[in-house]
Amino acid sequence: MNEKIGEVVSASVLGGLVAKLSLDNPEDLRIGYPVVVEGRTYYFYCMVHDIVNQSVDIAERLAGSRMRDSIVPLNETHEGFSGRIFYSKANLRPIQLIHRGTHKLSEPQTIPPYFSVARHASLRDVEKIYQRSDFSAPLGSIRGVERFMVHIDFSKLTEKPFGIFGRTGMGKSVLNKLVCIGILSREVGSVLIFDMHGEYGVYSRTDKTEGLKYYFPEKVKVFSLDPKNKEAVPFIIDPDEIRPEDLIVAFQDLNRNMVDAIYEINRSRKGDIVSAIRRADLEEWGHRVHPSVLSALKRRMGRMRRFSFVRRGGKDAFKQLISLIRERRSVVLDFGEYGTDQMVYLFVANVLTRRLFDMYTERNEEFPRLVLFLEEAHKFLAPNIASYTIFNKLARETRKFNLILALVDQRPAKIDDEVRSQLANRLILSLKEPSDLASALAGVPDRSVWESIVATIPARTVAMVGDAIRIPTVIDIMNYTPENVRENILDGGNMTSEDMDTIAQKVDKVFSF
Amino acid sequence: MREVALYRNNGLDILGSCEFVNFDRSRTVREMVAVDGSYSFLLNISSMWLAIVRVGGLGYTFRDGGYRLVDSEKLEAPILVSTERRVVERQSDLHLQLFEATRLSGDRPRAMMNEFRHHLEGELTLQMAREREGAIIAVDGTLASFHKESNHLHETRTECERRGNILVGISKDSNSHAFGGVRTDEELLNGKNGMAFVRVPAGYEEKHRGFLHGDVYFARLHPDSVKWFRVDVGTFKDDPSFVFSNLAHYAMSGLCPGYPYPLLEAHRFAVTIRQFKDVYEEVLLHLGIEEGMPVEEVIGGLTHVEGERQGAFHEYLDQASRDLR
Repeated sequence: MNEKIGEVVSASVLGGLVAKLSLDNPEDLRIGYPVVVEGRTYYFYCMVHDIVNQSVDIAERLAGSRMRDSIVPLNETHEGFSGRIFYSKANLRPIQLIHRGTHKLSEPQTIPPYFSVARHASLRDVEKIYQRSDFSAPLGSIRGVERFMVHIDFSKLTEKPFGIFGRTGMGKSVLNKLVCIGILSREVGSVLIFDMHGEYGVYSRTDKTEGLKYYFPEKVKVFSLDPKNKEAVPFIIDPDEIRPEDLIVAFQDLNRNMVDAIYEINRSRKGDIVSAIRRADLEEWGHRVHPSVLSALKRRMGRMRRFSFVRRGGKDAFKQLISLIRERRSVVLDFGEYGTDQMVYLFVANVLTRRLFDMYTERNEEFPRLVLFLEEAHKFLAPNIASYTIFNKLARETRKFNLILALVDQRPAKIDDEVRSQLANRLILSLKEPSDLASALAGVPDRSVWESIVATIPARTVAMVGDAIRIPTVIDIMNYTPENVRENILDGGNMTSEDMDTIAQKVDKVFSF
Repeated sequence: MREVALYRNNGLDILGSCEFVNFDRSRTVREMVAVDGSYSFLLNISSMWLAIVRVGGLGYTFRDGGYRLVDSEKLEAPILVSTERRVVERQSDLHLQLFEATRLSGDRPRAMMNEFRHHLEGELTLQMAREREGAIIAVDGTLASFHKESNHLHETRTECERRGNILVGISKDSNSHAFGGVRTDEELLNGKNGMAFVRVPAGYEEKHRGFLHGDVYFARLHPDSVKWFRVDVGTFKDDPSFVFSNLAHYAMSGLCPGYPYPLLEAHRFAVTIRQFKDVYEEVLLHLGIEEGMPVEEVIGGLTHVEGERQGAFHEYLDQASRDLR
């Protein structure tokens, strides 16, 4: 992969470089591939952001013509005085300069001379750029370079809120798992996962791949809302803990009058808010709340009757959860049979996170760093909902308190701008919607370049930008297999074969409910 | 329109009496050398014009169904021409000879520069012809010399004969009226299809005796050729079928069927001189300053490729006329 791919024919500090390609086939190059341009003083480490066959009159005239007995003008049949008669060009975006003598890295503030050779980046090139630390681990390899696992600094990643964005089916779940494994293996924090589809326990219920507890049996505790899951600790919510905001977020479709009515009832309630609304009658409330609003609210509260995890008298799961977090252990909250009910997810996530936020911000006690993975983040952080949730505050403030938000979403455009602007790192899988592309990359230098890259990367490929990686990079996410995880992230040191056997024996029981 | 139609048919009768010879491609393929040149004026100070001339010679072979570049040569030279005898007398004999030979030309600097280009083309053709045997040596344009000493044609022909090289001159565009029509020969021949050649009437060659170094033909080197090309045949004159059947191998490119691909590439190479004009201008500015010339004078003397000064008053008038339309 170290061969020449072309020569620089145009360059601009602001606009990037253009290389005339000498490749037999432009298909050998792809968007996001790293390329090195050999200047006189510097190596220009670049990223391919477009590959172009320019419109040529002669090509347009020839295409589709049926000339008898003639030689089709291809590069193989027509050698020209300056190389190929038809050639492609690649637009390159310099990302980093490497001094040819000292190997010192610097920002790309200059351009290489005309005809500078462009070549595929080699292992030696990338090794100069990406450096490892005690807190780094790879998520995958760099595209277009012979196998090189690029390391992410998980300590930096978990210092501030970060986002994982991508369309459905592009590999978000696998990436989430790898990020979690990276965090736990480098011991830079613990994680709290709302596990809607049973993916993060021992094994994934959907694709049978290994979950977090498989790799970290001692570090990860599974709670479940589903009483049928006997392997997990039951998660019970005391109705007294429910606040108006939890209901507003859970139902999402409450109008202004309903929201006002909830607060009105909350002010003079006896007992919990859900029961208070259910009990409210027109005789008592009719003069303050419109009858139709009240009956609509009551109908909605009726839906909560099937939430068996909301009840009094259970062991306070939250206290157990907090004590685990104090011990730097991680929590997977399994939703079991509620996994398909988005209302349950919104409700539980809001109740739990609000309490965590209170713990982290109001107590003088120092809590260990906890990364809270919030899937479908826009449901909590849409501009019309964000003010009712704790997540808005969480994204902006809690890095001071060690409670870090990881937003996971397929529609970043629907997340409030202010929240999105707090993200110090973004891991962006394929996105197609222009508004999502623009939002996911808002604030990133050379946004338009990255938009074209992200719009064209395939599944299981992530563009990462932020301070946890040396330079913005397109990464082929590693295959999620125990061998890869052990070899590349765990380094074989975090789990013994006995641990794995023990966990494997429990698998049947986990799925037997 | 009646008159247009009348004149359009003029000359077709002569064409009817000419012998059109069909031919096929030869069984073996010879190597082919193509030579072409170009120039670009750079500077005009008073009666002096400075230009840069580039000539390229490309050696090709036809192998594995494609045209392979074997070798290439180039000549590049700055040339100063002047319409002022006092200047020319201080230059070379060739300058003086060309000065005399172009005295009747309406555009003497361009005429002289064209001859210099021919001269360099001839020099390179001769050099490459000497390096080969049994090849095709093709030059852009006719095998005619406006001035005997200027293009080495006589010497090249002798050399090609000695080495068994086919020597041809192929004109991209010919304005000749050898068939006696009102329309040009190319226009007259346009209706004729197939792969064939035809020699021009003897009267034409007779009229140009002394200038011509070959027999004049028009040929269609490919069944889908875009047109008939004038081909001057300098060697193997007794066997034109042999010449055209060999040449036809190189006229099969889908880019320009009927026109030899090596000549197309040689042309592309030569005209790069015009694309690099900015680079030469920059060099010129530096040299001018080194020689003590005021920079304004050098800038004021910069020309377009054909020799007209940039920012000449007629350009202003042209622009003004367009704007006022």
